[in-house]
Amino acid sequence: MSDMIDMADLLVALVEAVPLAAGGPDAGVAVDVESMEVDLPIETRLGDGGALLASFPRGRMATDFDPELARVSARFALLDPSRRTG
Amino acid sequence: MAGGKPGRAFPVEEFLQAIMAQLDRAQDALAAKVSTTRRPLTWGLKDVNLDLRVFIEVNDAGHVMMRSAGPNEAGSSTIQLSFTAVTRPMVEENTFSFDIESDPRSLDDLGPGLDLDEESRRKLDWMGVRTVGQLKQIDPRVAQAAIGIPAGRLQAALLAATRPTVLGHDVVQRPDGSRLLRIRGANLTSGVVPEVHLAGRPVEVLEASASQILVVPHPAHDEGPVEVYTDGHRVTGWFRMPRPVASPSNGAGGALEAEA
Repeated sequence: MSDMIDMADLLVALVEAVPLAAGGPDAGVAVDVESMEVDLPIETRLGDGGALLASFPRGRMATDFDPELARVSARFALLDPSRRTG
Repeated sequence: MAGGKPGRAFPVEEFLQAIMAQLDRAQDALAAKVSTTRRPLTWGLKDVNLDLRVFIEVNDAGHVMMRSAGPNEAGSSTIQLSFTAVTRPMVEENTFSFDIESDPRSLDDLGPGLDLDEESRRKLDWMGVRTVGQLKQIDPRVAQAAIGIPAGRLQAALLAATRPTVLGHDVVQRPDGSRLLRIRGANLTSGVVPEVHLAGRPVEVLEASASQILVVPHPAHDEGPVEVYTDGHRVTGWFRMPRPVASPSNGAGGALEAEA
């Protein structure tokens, strides 16, 4: 059973969950992640002030009377901080 | 428990503001996160799409509300939201600017002059009319035909919106140590330089625009009524000039006390 967290924290957690580089000089080759797309079901609830709280689905702990799952898809990209425009 | 009970309903606008604030916070957190790759890069959130299961309700005041679907509640609606990162120039181009707004007063500032019921106010809000400057851009006949607000009431509101008003003032310190008084308001001039009296004495007007007048107070002025004569109207306010505080080091000049 998972606790609801702020949607912002969930998005950051998604990035942290993915290994972003592999290999290196020892392996003779290196691979870096440059962008990432995720698309997954989530449980959501509106919290204080209308803030969106979310959690990953409960999977095996789910019951037949749980609310239907919401869905989030997000695209992340590695950016040069000196060239940020937003 | 995740999923939890249905909880209370929130206005759609409140939810959207909250989710945008959350996405901004996520963007800030990601921007502060230097990548673990070999280059000094940070993560950015390009776009987010959400499909939410909610119940849509309309409360007694006519506001559209959203409520999370609870356990075992069938028939929820799916709201699809798409957010994308925008560049600073796009934000500046599309964001309402109070600085360039001709009359940024809230509609509530018109007081009794705005004789509109709650429903008409809500319709104006839906049209995006939230300031007096935006109200002035409305054609009452078009508004009546389009959203049903009586043209007569809008014309009365527009008349109230064009009356000169003094809203406040601040003191401007010049490099030579002299002080000016900036009177802030609305409709303070339509092109002709207004006549201004401070505490009953006429003062020199240096600059005048619809939203502010810059005048030269007499050295003896400390506080009193502001009177602005403009376009056949006399509008009043009250001013206070904070006394200069003597510098402890040399006993002369120095900063101003906080504005009253």
